[in-house]
Parts: sequence; C-alpha cells; structure tokens
Amino acid sequence: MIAALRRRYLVLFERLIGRRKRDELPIALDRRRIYILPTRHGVLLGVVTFFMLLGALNYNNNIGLMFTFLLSSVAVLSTLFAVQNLVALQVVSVAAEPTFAGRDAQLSVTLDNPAGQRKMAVGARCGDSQKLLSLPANGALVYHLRMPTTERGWQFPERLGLFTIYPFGMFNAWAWIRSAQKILIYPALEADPPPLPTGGAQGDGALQLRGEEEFTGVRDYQKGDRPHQIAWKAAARSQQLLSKEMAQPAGTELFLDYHALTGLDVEARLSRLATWVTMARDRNSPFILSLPDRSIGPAADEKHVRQCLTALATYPS
Amino acid sequence: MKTPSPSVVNWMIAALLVTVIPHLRYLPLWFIALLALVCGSRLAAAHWRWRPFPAWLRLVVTVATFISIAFSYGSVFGRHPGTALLAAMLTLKLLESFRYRDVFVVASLCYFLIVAQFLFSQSPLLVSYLLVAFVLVTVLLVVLVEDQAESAGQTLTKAPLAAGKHTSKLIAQALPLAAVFFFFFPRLSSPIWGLPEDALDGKTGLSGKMAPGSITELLIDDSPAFRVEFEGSVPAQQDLYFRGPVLWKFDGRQWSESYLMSAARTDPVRESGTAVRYNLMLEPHHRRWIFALDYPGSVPSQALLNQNFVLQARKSIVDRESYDLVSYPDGRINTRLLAQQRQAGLQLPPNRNPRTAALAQQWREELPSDQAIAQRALSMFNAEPFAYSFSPPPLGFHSADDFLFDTREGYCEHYASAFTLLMRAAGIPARVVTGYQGGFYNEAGNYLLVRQSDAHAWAEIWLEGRGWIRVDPTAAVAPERIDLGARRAAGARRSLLDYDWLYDLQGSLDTITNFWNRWVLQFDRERQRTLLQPFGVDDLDLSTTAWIMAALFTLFLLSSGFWVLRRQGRSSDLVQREYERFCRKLRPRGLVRGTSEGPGEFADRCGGELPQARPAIDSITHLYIKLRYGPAGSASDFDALQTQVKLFQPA
Repeated sequence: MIAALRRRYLVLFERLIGRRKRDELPIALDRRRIYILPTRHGVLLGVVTFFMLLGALNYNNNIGLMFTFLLSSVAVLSTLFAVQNLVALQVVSVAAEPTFAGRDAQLSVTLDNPAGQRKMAVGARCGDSQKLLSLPANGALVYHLRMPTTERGWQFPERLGLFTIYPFGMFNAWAWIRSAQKILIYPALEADPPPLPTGGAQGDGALQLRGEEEFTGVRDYQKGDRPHQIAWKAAARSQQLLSKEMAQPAGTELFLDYHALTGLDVEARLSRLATWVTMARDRNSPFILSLPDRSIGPAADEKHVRQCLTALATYPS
Repeated sequence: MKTPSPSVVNWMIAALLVTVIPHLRYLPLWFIALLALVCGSRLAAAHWRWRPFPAWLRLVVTVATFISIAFSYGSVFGRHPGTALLAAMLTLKLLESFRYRDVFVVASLCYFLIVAQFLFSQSPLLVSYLLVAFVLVTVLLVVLVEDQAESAGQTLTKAPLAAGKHTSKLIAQALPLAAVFFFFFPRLSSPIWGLPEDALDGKTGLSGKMAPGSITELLIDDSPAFRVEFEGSVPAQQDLYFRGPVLWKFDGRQWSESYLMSAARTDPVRESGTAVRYNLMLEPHHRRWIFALDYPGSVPSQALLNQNFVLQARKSIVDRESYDLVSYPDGRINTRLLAQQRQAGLQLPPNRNPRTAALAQQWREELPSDQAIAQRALSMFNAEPFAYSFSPPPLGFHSADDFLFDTREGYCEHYASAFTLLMRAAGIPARVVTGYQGGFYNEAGNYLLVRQSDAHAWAEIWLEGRGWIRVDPTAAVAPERIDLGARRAAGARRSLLDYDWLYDLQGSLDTITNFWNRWVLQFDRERQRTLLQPFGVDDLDLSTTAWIMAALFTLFLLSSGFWVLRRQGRSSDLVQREYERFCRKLRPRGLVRGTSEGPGEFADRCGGELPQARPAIDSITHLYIKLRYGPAGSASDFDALQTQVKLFQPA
C-alpha cells in the first residue's frame, strides 16, 4: 500500500522535474548536486551521544565530555568525508543493450574516479537494483544495473542515483544523474502469440516446417548459427562443425505484414510483429518485414533481425 | 542481503573485547565466562558459516543474564549494575550480529561503554587505552562500510595497519573541532539529577575514629589523599601538619569525635606570624573534612570551620575539589576554654589504666606546671626504650598501661593515645588530632603530594594563656617520622614491592597526574572563565559561552570543509601537474580537454580557437609529450615547460 503510493508519487515527481534539462555525459559530480542526510544509524548514534553528553555534564566528568565531543566532531566531519567520496566522480556513460519493453534492461554505468585516492563503497542505484563498488584510484568501473522498461523506442534511462555511506555509515550522501543518453527499447513481446503467418509474398501456400532431421544439405558452420542448426551427426563424422542447410522453396520466405494485422491497434500490431520476428529468428527462417513506410528483407541473419526490431521500435505511433 | 564477512566479525570481536576488558574488574566472575562463550560462538559462526542463532536461544540467554546481574549486585540502579547491564547487552548483541545494522548497534554500544568507564576512573593511562579503543571501534565502522561494497580485494578490511592509519587520519582531522567543543561548551555549575549513592568505590582514609591499628592500616596505602601547591616557599617538613578530625571521646579502646565540638562554628585564626598561602587539591574521600594546614586562617565559601578548627565542606566530598587557603602556623586557638570543653578534655573511662593514673598523679605532685608534666612525658618516651613499629603486640583491657609499661612498642596512634590519656590523668585537658603529616615534595611539579600513607595522629593539650598546643609524642620517639616521612621511618618494607626507587618514581610520575587533574579533569566553569578572561570576556554566563562556541564551531567547520573538500587528485607527477596548470588556464576560454582527447588533438583544437597563442600551445604540448611519453626528457626541458606554462596567456 505504502509502496504503491510511493511509486505513484515518484512517477508524478518524475513528470514534474522531467522538464528539467538532462545531463550530458560525461558529467562530473559537483558539490551542488550532492545531498546529504543522516542514516538511521547516524540518528541512533546521535541519540547515544546525547545521553553520553547528559551523563558527562551531570557528573562534570571532563574525560567523558572529551570523548563525547570527539565522537560528535568525528560524526560532523564525516559529512565532509562522505561528500568528498562522491565529488569529482565522473559518470562516463549510461548504456544498455536493447531489450524488449516490459523486461528489465541491463544498464551498464561506467564511473570514473580521476582522483588519486580510492573511493570506497560508492553505490549506483536505478529503481530497485543497486550495486556497491569501491573505485580504485585513477580508475573506472562498470556498474551493471537492471532498469524496468515500459515504453518502446528511444527512451531516457530512469534516473540514476549515486550514493555512499562512507566513512562511518552515519551519513548518506547522494546525487541524481538524469542521463541524456537514450537507450533503445523494442516493442513488448506477446505472451501467447499466434503462429507465424503462412505463405510467402503471394500470400498463400503453407510453409512446411521441416523437422530437425529433414534437411537438404550441410554447409560450414558460420558464427551465429544456433545449436539446433548444427548438424551434429554429420559434424561428429567429419570432425568439424557443420550446419544444416534448409531448403526453402522460392517465394516461401515468411512475410510479416503490418497491414495484414487488421483489428489491432498500432502498438498491438508492433508487438505482434516483434514477437514474430523473434520466432522467425529462432527458426532461422528468412523473412520480410513489411511496414507502411518501408520493407526490410528478406534475410535471416542477426543484423537483419536487429534492423527489423529497431524499425519496429522506432515506428512512429 | 549480504551478511558481514568473517573479517568484519573479527574486527567486531576485537573492538568489543578491547572495550569490555577495563570493565571486567567491576563485573562478576561468571561474566568472563559468558563473554568467552559468546565471542567464541560468534567467531565459529562466522568462520564455519553457521546459521544465525535462533531467537528463542537469544531470549533465554538474555533473560538469564539480566536476572544474574540483578542478583549479583542486588539492584539494577547505580553505577555498577548499570554498567554491568550495558556490558551484558553489548555482549549479547553479538549473538544477533548477522546483519550490517546489528554490527552498527554493537559499535554504538561500544562507544557508550567506553564513556561509561570514565565514571570509575579518569587516570591518564586508562584514558590513553580507551583512546585506542575508540579508534578501534571507529575502524570497525569503516570496515563495515567497505565490506558492503562488492569489490574483490577489500584493502582495509584485511589489513589492520592500513585500516588503523586511514581511520586515525580521519579522526585526527576532527580533533580541532573537538577541542573547540571541549573548551567552550557551557559547563553546568550543579548536576542535573545529582550524584549517585555509590559514586565512590569504598571509603579510604581517615574515618573519624581511631583504635590501635587504624592509622597503621593506612601505611600501605600509597594512593594520593591531596596535593598542595604553595605560594612562596614550602614550610619545613616538621611544620607540615594537616588537620583532620579531632577526637575527644575515649571508650577504653577507641577514640571518636564529639558531636558538640564538631558542629559548633568558629571564626578563623587571626593573623599572627607568617602566613602560608596555598592551594589544596583534595581527592574525593566521601567525608567532609578539608585537610588544611595548622591553623586555618581563612574559610572558603563552600566550607565552614568548627570549634576544633577543622575545616569542613558543607557536603560530602565526592568529587575532586580545589581550595585556596591561608594558614598561620604560629596562630593560637581557643585561648579561653569553656567548662564544657574542659570537662570533655578530661574525660577518662572509669576503672581503667590504674598504673597510668598513678604515674600521672606522681608527676602532678613532683612537677610545678602543666608544661613541665608534658615535657616529662616526652622525655620518658625519648629516654626509655620505646619503639616505633607498625606491627606491635596487641594491647589488653588496660591499653594505656600495657603500652606504657609492658609492650612499649607501637605506631603513632598508640603514642598519641597513651600521651593523651596520661595528660588527662594528670588533669590537663587533652585531645587526639588525626590528619596528615609531611608528604612527598615533587620537584618537577612544585607541589607536595600527600598520600594516605602519610596519615598521622598526634595530641593537643590545653595550657593556660596559650590555648591548645600541639604535642607530637612520635617526634620524641622517632623523629625520623616527622623529618623524613612515614615510609622512611617505617624501616622495614611495607609490602613486597616497596622499593625506594619505585616509591620515588611513583612520586615523580604523579606530576603527570597532577597536571592531568588540574588542567583536564578540573576543567570547570571557573577554568573556562580563566581561559577566556585574557580575551576580554569577563562575564561568562551560559549564553555567552554558547555563542562563542557556536561561532568557533562554524569557523572550524568551514575551514575543515575547505581542507577536506580541496581539489583532489593533484598528480604527484610534476610534469602532469604543469600540464594540468596549462589546461586550467585554457578553461575560462571554454576549452576543456575531453577525457579521451590526447594532448596533440587538444593542442590542435586550441590552436584553432586561439591562433595568436598557437605557437605557445604547440611548444608546451611538445615539451609535455617529450617529458611524459618520450624516452628521456631532461631537467632543462622541465624548466622550460615550467617557465612557458607560467608565462602562458590565452589572449
């Protein structure tokens, strides 16, 4: 209940400050960006110190007072150390491999530490996923985070939080980075898609799916061929990797047509097409993707798949 | 959620042990067993990867421990049971320390326990030890933070020395701010909730009662009773009599105070003869006597002077106190004697000590005056074979008779007691005075250290026209006690480790303790005032102090901020530094070198933007590349680079 409210609040918040300019990368953390507040532990220690102070004052115990003041000073100064731990760090890049909407994107955040000192326990957070690493002096590290995705297309990554509780865990210093580097999200996959459309460019003729054993020939293994494409028996005999050659009757490439998907709205159509593209890729079947503005294919390689998915992702809504 | 790694657990146990060990002398014996058990099982759990301890087990152990503490101490209130409970809580928290937040709670409790120890003692040795403990607990926190990160090679968690050094550097930067707090934080002039019942451990020193053996007991106690700093020259050892409780009543064995005499107040001694001005810093002894030098000529505001001319505080002295006093050794007291007082001064228990009475009678008939009788008694002690010893044979029912005629061996209380009884039997009002005599003069610190072992008992007799005068029979028997001090006079060793050099060493080391007491422990409102007076701050009330503290706090925080947040990462590489200086000069023109931009590219770009400066830019870049990446740049090249960078102006 509270978590739901919190999420609602954050969405609203994002929308409000979404107007603000995004950060061009690489960007160095400035003192002005860094916020600092006591942690729960800091508050606990504050309470303990207060009672120490009260006791020492009551008995006019000067050594007790000295230690209490030392502890307080250390705590107060730890705010400076915490900020020092974050300041001048550079966020070099926030990138991700394209993923399908609805799934988590694997975000790679590269943080660079230009200072001559090691920065301990610097954390990066995106949504619920966070990672804590210690950055070596004059070095950079990559943080792998997961970012939930909802919409397709070129999206700004969710805001990235950099935080630390160095040195004593009493204060939490953090900064937000709203990266201007967009990441590509493909349309969401359908959970239960109908089978691939039959027929080639003519629109008819059933495509017989060959079984695993029925293939017309072998060819040399090409990098990128899937395991089920490899002719294992033949390969065992000849001591080298061979792939199956599937004969395709001419004109029977898969034809994935945007216009044929009547009764679905734009997003649904794109989702369906994206799902079909992946299914076609899994079967290693060449296909043509036909969209209103252009047509891609026929081909069956990875590059083609990417091209199609990108086109689907960037299709204007 | 990660659990703390075994290394963190090691640090935690180390911090805990270091913190708890000073408390062990006040804790019941079974606690040590509990400590060992809990630490052992936690270590095992960490290194052999056990599951966290179940809640029911923790509950059972906790309840059992608390009940045991309540039984051992009899209550849960007070300094001892309170700290015991705290130590127990801390130890038991170890059983529940499988998450990061629990380890943090352990660290917080350790801090509290460190400060709690100071309720018991504030000696410099203990403070140094606990300072180390403080650093250790702080290291635990740092290591805890580092452990939460995932990098391999936790450089601090596994390297104790590096961790210690790193943390010490952080703590050292906090010291100036702590000093500001310490000197300027407003102190209270009276406690918030008062001092506890058991503020002291046991009562040492004089007790207001004297029986054979009372003063002898104190001979082996070398703990300081008080310290005296004299203005001007120090009186001779023979004149250093510090007055304590005066004993009037004798029940046959024990001397005790008279309520009437102790309660009545009197004015201090009038100016007569030389004045001795001094400051007395009195260790807490749970009673009210302030051991002033005979005879007190001033009464401090928090004290009063009774009919016996014993200076007393208004409340029990449970805290170290400092008094500025004046005394007149040649002064006279009570030149007029009231009938009541005369009667008290002649009180003798009936049917005791017949031989003493007979001797006194004999002298009364033979000798002309009271003074002569007293003199006669002293010569008897001197001439006859009386011995001064701290392990004399015991005395019987007629204690004075046994001592004067049979055993003839005793310590100062025996002599004082016997002499007083003798005088009383002769009709001269007499009383016993207990207090301290002599002391150890510390050359380095210029003060007199008076220990419990310097406790002494002597007598006073009342003579017509002169009032009460001091007569010390010990001086007649063993003048070395008066001249050289109790320890020297004792002759034989008082205890196994009673060596001269050790005794003198202790005395010299006391200089540190004295300084510590005066300047650190006694730092109170009065001293704060002294500190700030040179700066023209005369009226020091609570708000003024608070304002000063706030101002200094802000100042120190700002300067600390500048120091800590200074631009980091200045290369120790000198060539690099010069190049960076060059780049900084270009920054205001908007020419910032990108992270992946090489020096040559950067030079081209800048040259394009600033054609006039192009030759300079190219030259600097060339030198930089030669020095940094080339096979060998010479010193002259570096000088050239430095000069050119200095003169560089991106016009």
